[in-house]
Amino acid sequence: MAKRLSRDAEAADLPAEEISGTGAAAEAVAEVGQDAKDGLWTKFKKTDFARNFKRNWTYLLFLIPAVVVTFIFAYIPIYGLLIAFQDYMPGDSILHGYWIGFQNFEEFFGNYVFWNLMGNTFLLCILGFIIGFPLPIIVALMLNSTKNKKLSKVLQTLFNGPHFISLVVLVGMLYLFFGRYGLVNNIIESVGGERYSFFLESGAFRPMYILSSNWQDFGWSSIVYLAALSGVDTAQHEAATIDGASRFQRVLHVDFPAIAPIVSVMLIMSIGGLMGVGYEKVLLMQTDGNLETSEIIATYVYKQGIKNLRQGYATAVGLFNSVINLVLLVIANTCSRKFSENSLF
Amino acid sequence: MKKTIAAIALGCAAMFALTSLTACGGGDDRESNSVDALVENYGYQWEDTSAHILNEKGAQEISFRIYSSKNASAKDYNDMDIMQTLYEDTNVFVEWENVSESIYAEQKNLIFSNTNNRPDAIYHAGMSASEIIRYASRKVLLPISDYLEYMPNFSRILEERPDIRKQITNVEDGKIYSLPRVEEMGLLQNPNLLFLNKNWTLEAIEAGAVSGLTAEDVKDGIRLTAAQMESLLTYFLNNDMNGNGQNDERPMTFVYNNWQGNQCDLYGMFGLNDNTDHRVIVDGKVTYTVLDDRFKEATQFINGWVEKGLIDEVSFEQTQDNFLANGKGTELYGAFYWWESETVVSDPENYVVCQPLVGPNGDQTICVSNNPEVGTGEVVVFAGTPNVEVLLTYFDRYYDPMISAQINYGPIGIVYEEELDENGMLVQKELPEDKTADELRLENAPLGICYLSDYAWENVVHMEPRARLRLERLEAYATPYVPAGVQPVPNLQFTQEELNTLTLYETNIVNYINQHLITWLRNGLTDADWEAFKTELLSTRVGLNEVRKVYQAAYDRYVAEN
Repeated sequence: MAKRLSRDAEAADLPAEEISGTGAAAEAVAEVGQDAKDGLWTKFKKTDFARNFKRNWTYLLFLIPAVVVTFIFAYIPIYGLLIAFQDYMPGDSILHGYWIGFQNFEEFFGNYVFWNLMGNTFLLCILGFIIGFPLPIIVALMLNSTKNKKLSKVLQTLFNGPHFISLVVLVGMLYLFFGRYGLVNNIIESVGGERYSFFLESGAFRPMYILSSNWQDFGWSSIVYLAALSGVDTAQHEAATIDGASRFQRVLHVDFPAIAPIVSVMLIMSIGGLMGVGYEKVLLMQTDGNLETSEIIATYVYKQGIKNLRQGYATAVGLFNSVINLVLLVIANTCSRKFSENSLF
Repeated sequence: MKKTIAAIALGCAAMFALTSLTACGGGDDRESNSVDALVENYGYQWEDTSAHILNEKGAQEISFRIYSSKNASAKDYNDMDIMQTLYEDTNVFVEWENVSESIYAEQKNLIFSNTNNRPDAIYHAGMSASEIIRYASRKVLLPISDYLEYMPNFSRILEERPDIRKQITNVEDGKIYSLPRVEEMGLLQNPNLLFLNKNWTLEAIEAGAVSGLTAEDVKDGIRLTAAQMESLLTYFLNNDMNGNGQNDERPMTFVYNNWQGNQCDLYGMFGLNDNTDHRVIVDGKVTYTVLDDRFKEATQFINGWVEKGLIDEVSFEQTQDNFLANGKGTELYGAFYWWESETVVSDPENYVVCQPLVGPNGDQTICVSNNPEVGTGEVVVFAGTPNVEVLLTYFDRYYDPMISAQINYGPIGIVYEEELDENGMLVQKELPEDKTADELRLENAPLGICYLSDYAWENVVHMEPRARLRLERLEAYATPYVPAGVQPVPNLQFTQEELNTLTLYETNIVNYINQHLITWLRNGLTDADWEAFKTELLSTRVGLNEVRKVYQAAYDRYVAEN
């Protein structure tokens, strides 16, 4: 599997080479242009780019829709970020709007909720990451080393189930189970404890949020690791068994190294998305009682942008959040390249 | 990297969608006519408020597109009887574009972004004062006050009621940009009433659990001191009142910080006229109840009830729907705050209405809420709408008392009889068997702009029986306990600068107060907490003083020439 993966990586690298090739070719063309014009086309045909292009142009054709779609829907809209520097109202022209410079940013940094928001967002994400990242790896390793393959398949299906529950339903379930007259509190009371208002205690918000998210997604996230594990050469396992390795040692020394490259890629990706937690679930779980811990950047952006109709301000806050994400991603990628030679870019 | 870029880009994708939509807009090819041309060619007239506005030719050639959100159970406005009646009476053809209420909030921004293809007006626009002032400064909205001569009903209302005029007039340029909804029944100022379980109370009195109460006292209008209420609630808590063998009684319950049935009446025990904004007018001054030391005392007292379990803690957590659902079936509620008992419990006759509770220091007053009876920003008209005078004359008909009643409650022929009674008032038709009054009303009445005030209640339409019952209760058990000089804060109009101050501070203030209040009510507060809270609230970081000054200035303007 590891081999196949590296081959995939090579395949994925190809277009990148093509693109860098374009730059080289353009320079070559420019140089040639100064010599003689009629030699230009012949010289161009001899470049690596032209040869590669001729050989692969049909495959490159398949790339066009992806490039066009990405360009239209991911790159062109970036100019909308300009409204972060404006007092924007829907209907204003984005290019000729009401410019106010960095006022939106200054207001956010000077706002007394700023550090609280940053702290809440960071804590919620980092705790979720610490629990949520290793869990699917452990589950995948466990499922993979289960002797009973049928049981392992059944478990895998069961673990995937919660992923398909919509957020609204999930939070509804949380209210049913953890509400003041919900199942959990009924059990607590029947064993002589005091009813506990999970939704009103700021201390209960993070555990509830993180554990329910992980409960929902650990099975789903383990799929990618299971796929990697299915490619481990059985010969290695047999060799390890002959050498007297226990099952746990085999997991540790055969299975885990096999998925390590994937783990590091997933690690970089999840660090890149660390601060990018969505607002929907937090907003659904938010009450006055837990606002102290449950107000995060994303919910703040929602409230300012949609409810208070301050889209410029909300965009500024969102932009700031994305910048943090980008910085984290670059740091994670650099570290990963230094220590394990695996990196995204 | 790609993921982050995608994340950034997704944020802007909406913006992109908006701008690209602009490009596809079809534009408007309708011709705009001067008033003289309208009069000459289409028989336009606005003075006679019962005759046609346009002639037949006008009905054919002039039309308007109005965008409106509608209640999920309402008919399409194009099919509503009242809209068809209006067309027949006026000859003004309106094409309604309906969307459901739930998606309107998102749609609103799209409509405003779509500069080339906006509708002529938005009905049920739900525009805040701040939105109106910002769009007005961009010349997106039509200054309706420039066209008042074409709106005889509406201009008469504005003349009779300078307070309504004040509430909708933009202070920056003195113009009116929206049409209001006025439904003055006097029901909104006190959104809570305290209901008490009659049988449970009688049982408690019989058991000798309460002092100073006899069985004869247990009727509507019962006067209870805080101490008596406390012993009653304690009795409810410790006994199996509903006899189902379970400890599921909820002595006192409400829906915390809801617009109705909230905790604010409890603060009346300490002489505070609290509301969910904690902002009220006392003797012409904008006053924040959260700065009053009695607020601390009251919070400590109420917290005592919460800690003893007399106030069910679920009150802070439950939604309105949970609260209503739990009231049905087996009786669980000993005492509760709500608009009326009929919607809450299965057997409302088992509950009596109480006077506001008398506090430990003898104070007896009630919540004064800021729910306005004048809804501003209900209809806005876009600048540049062709033949806008005709549209405004058409909207003016909605303020005719007879039309207003039908707009608000449902049309003649479905909800009301064709024949008026001897006083010229509308007569309620008998309900069809398969529908409740609410269902029939929501299906057939668009609601929205109307003017229903004293004149209408006396001459055109009877209040609904439920509204009348509540009004009687309020007159007996609520209004007498509002001290003179205490008033709700009306709809106020702010300058752009004042609005900037409000956006800067207000969300934070609300969050700051709410966060502390719920913790205190559940876990208690010390005097040190209270002092720290007040200092922080008044500091420039949170900025309550700045906000209070803005409200005071706006209120002073409001009362200036009234």
